[in-house]
Amino acid sequence: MFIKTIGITAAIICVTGAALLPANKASSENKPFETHEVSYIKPGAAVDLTHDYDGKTQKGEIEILTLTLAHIYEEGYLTVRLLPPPELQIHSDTNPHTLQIQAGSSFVLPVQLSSMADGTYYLGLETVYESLEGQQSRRVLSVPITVGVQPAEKSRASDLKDIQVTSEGIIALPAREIIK
Amino acid sequence: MQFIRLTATGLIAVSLGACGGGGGNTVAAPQAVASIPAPPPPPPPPPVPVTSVKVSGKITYDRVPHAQNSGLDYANVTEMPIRGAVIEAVNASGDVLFSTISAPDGSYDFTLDAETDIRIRAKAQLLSDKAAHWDFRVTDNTQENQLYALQGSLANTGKSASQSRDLHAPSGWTGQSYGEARSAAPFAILDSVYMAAQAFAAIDPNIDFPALELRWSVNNRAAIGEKAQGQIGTSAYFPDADSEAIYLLGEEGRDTDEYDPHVIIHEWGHYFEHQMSRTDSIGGLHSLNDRLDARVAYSEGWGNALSAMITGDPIYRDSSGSSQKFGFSYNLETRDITNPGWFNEASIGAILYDIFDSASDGPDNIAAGLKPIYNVMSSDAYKDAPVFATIFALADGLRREGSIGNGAINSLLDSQSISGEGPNGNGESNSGAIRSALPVYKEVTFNGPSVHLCSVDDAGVYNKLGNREFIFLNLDTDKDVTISAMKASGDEQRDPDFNIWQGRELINKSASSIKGEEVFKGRLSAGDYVIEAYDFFNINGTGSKRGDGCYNFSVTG
Repeated sequence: MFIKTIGITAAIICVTGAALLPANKASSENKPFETHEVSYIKPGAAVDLTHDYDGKTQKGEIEILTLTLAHIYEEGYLTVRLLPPPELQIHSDTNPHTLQIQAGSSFVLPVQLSSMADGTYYLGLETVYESLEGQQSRRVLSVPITVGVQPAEKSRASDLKDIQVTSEGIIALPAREIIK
Repeated sequence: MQFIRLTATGLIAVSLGACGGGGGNTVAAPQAVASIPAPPPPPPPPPVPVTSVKVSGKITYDRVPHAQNSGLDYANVTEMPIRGAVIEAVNASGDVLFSTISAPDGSYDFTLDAETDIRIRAKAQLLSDKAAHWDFRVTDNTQENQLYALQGSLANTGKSASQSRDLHAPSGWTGQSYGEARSAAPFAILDSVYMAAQAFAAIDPNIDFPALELRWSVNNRAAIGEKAQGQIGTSAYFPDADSEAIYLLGEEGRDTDEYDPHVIIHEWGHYFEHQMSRTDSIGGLHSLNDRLDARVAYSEGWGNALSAMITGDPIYRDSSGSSQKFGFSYNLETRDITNPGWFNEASIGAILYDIFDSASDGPDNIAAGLKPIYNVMSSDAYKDAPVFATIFALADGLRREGSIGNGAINSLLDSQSISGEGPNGNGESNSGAIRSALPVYKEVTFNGPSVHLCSVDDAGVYNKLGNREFIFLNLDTDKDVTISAMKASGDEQRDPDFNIWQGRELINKSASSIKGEEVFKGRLSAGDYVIEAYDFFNINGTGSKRGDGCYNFSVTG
């Protein structure tokens, strides 16, 4: 077992940039983070997750990464809980943390993890924001952890309990049927 | 016993008892008695061979309701009809022999050949080719966007005149987890959309919705990355023309949204804005307490209000967590809103829902339903207005639409600390504690004095109040113009940029990397423009060089 630390900052940004113009209509220069796809996300806790994971973990390696929650702009309380899948072993604190936040606060959570099985696993993070008035909102965030060699094929419909893809390109779901 | 009935000439009925005793088997003829021997009865007709069979039935799915805490309540699952969906009879080769649309109670029927092997298939597709037209599908983004369908067994239609085939889509919940296929999920999603489409069709019988896919998978997770791998970030509407879709979470134990109709309809509301109305929202993270860009607050408030209108439930609920037993909720009827105003999605949601609902509470004495809101949002005047779609534009449209009194509208707006008038919020006095946020629109004139504007990060970045300023410009004739923003205050990182809008069309995006200034030179045609000005580092998402900057803004020629 060996330990690796990572110094690369890989931002994951939920917010998105301005709509792009056709080239002949724009006088903009390339700027970082300006070309993200626009999306309209569901309501929930307005927290954003960034991390420094480089996307590669060897089997048995202890990975050390730092999760940072930011973009919190109103006062209140934030509770954070790690939701690791069974394939990931967490060697750091997994207790939920609650802290009082000020506008502009960020929350840093160091995590040590490892796995003995190849695959991509999702380290979940449940966040619960509670305003000073007691109004709660939640958001689940997730970081994909890639361990060892990845299978060449992505998951197929056959992996999904009793579901088949028909020759017509239909995903056939099983039914309870009564014929009389 | 032999029973003879002669009806040609008179009313003669004879019943000959064969068991003696004469007890009760003889019917006296009232007028005459037959004396001729009865002819032998005609032989029964040979059975007509059945060539066709009416196959009918009902298609249903498991609806998992919310518990009081907004988690899912698997102990109280109800069986609900799959309404308005495409139902097919398919033979062994996969050929579709017959297709129909399920009725509001989930029923269907076909007439098919007898003694034919078929299966019944219910597609996760709402289809209407009547006056009101739509095509909504639930597909799997992790399976090449293929369509879900509930599939019955291949069985013979038989020789009888009718056959019943009922199909049910179970939730797949086996007590502690989803131990079986989650067949009900695509149909639960579809049913939320069915309710929304029906509500609008009731107002506009000729409504024509562009096709839309709602992409859901058990692999759809809250990680950002490849959507084909289920890394969708969160449930969201993506408006890009080449890949327009609503993506919905499905990861068990973390966050699933198939049984959260408010979430689904909220996202569908964004689709509605884009396709049937107008939105100028830039999207992004948002919460009920945030002070938001006016366009974002309006769009998100609309989504929240629509979800309450369609479900008939003003309590917005979103389940998540282990066993889906947690969640959060908020009541659109609450008056206890943090940071109320034209920049708050909770305020907007409360106003729109109060216009719709029939409950009179506090300042709400309106029970207008969805129609006046739809009338405004679908009108050309609203869609083609020179100003952005905000609560001010909607309120102005409602005043002009005329079915709600101005006093009642003003009362609702006042209750949320909104006082601006007209489509541009003229005279608004609530700054949300960000001084540069007022007036909502500044105005610049050609060769007139410069306008002082700012981009600040006090309420956050990207889509928050104060990040961007809106400046109105009218040109009476076509002109060669120089539009410039020159730094008046702020640190050395400040990088002003601006977008030039004419109605809904983005005419130019002026976004050089030059610090402290931004200049556009070009020819603009006569007309009204709105210029959206901002500091790049307050909108670029990282927040690394964010800060306050103010600029002198002018249009010269």
